[in-house]
Amino acid sequence: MAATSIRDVARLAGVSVGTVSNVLNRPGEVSADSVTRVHRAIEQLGYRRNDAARQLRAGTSSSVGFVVLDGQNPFFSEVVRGAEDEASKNGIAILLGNTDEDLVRERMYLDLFEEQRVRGVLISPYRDISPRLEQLRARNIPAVLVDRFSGDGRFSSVSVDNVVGGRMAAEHLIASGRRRLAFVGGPFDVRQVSDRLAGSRVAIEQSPFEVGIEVVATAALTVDEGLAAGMRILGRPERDWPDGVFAANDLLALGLLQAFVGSGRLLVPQRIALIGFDDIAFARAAAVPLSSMRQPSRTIGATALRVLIEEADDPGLIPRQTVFQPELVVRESTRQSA
Amino acid sequence: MSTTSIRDVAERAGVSVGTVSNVLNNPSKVSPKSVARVLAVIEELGYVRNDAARQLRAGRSTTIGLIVLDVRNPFFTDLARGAEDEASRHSLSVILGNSDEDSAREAAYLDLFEEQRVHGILISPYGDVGPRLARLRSRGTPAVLVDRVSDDEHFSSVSVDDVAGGRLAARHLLDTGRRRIAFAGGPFDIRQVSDRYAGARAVVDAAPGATLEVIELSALSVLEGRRAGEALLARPADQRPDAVFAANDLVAMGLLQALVMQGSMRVPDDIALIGFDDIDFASAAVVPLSSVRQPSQLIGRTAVQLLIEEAADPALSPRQVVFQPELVVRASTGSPSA
Repeated sequence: MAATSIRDVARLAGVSVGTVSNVLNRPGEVSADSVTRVHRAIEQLGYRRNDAARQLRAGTSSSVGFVVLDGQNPFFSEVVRGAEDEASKNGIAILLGNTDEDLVRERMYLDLFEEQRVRGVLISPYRDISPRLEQLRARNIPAVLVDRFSGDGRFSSVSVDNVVGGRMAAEHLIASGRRRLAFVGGPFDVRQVSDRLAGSRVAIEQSPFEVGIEVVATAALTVDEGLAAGMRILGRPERDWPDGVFAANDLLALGLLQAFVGSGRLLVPQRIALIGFDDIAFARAAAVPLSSMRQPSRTIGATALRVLIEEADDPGLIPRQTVFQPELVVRESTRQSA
Repeated sequence: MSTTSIRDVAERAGVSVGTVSNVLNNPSKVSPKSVARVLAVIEELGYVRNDAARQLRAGRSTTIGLIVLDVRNPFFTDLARGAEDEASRHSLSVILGNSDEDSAREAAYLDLFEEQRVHGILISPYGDVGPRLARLRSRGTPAVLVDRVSDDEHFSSVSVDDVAGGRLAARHLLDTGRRRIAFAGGPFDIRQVSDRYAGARAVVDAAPGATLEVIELSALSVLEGRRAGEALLARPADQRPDAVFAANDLVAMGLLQALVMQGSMRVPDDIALIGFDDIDFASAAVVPLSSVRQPSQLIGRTAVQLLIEEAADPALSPRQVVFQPELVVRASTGSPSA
């Protein structure tokens, strides 16, 4: 069935299309009688203004697109929640697209949001996509990077200092007596992952102790990948196990924990200390409560939305990099070995 | 800066607007030379087809709008993942809106999706959206309910049998020797909550000597679960229930955090605990959590299939797909050891 058009309304109300348009957009210019008649026709026909048509004219919309790396990660859900709270205050709705760490889907959502002429885009990019975001900006759609520092300063960004976070996590493992560290994470073209590893290498270089770190690469930042990595570690002779594991995020850490707990031995923290990153709500209630690097996830989302609105209102603004410091949260999983 | 229009392209290429339009939509009608010229200009000017304009003509986009109750609940992000996977197979994309158990936000997303002329809408409704969805359908936008059966069967729906799930949970608690059961959940105008409660109520009422009290919550969140746990801890020991059925796993995780980690109650010895949904984190909890499993990804996939069929054939009768939930027993409802 075809949607009711403005023409149908005009016909029923016995006025011109221009009058209906004026009633909708500039009611002050129309006689009270016409306003009443048009409203009655709108009611009767169930006519709804077509936003696509309105956006064509106005060029802006009341929605913001948010492209996240992994919609199933509670960290991103919290960031989105923070952005939503801020968006609500501004009468803006957030449309969420989940790239699932897939470049094709990332491109698809950016195309979609561009075609819908959203007011702006928040994105946690998979790789560097500055050229694509420049195109968007040239078409009046500003973009703000979330959970990712804009290396070249071309875009505003809101993130935590992942290098510092990686350093703090490794320093904590070293301080709790661990000397054979493993970094579990990947893919390394996700910038957050390589930054966290880089930070832990700094901690090791600056340590007065003889500390080594190996990298156990994963294909994604998920519980399943963490579980598989844990099984690979347990599959080695015990003398080759690390004594401290830094997981690139909490989902990986929870998967590792499932593998270690599933072995039936009390491995964490006695034999292996384990720390994650993000401090998601499930970290504290894990089988062994998980130490983690806390990110202010809601604040990140809210701040990013605010910066985006400011840039949408004033395209001349100079890009700003907002960087929060992560915070070490110590729980049972890294308790010092006796 | 104004956006490049089809007119700019036509002017620069030295052809009519109609020719540009044909190059984009019916290239076989245009001479190869014109096609080449127009495409070169499109490249040069960075013209993007305006989806709003195209949708005005075609009447429908390739986007499915999904409105969930709580984007922070892994049940819904798993469901979204199933929907995304199925949509991808049909070259459609899913855009997510989070109503956050708020009628106003729910209505705003319905408006937005309608105005964008989405291909169809999947919704886990909070308020009474039946009349609204009926209007949407009459204007050519089909809707399928997810995680919720359609009361009047006016719409297709994909859900699990929540009443049966509530019965399963309560029956299991009774079978393991519990008699003073509490149901922790709310708000009760969420149909899933009242159905799960109704199932539990029926089973408990039929069991001699068993009681069911209600701990009413304002939301289905970890935080509300923690509050419920703190309220239980504040009671004298002899006035506490010996089992809690939490309306979902987030509430159960919050209860677990309060009872075991803040308080000193032993689960399951002092109090048994069962949740609903069987999210990934339930099995990795400090006490692995018993739950009632919903096939979340399958619900999302199935809902997209129904939606696509209805979009293709608006005359199809609504179908109710109801999956049976499955009891998953873990340590949190084991027999008391004392």
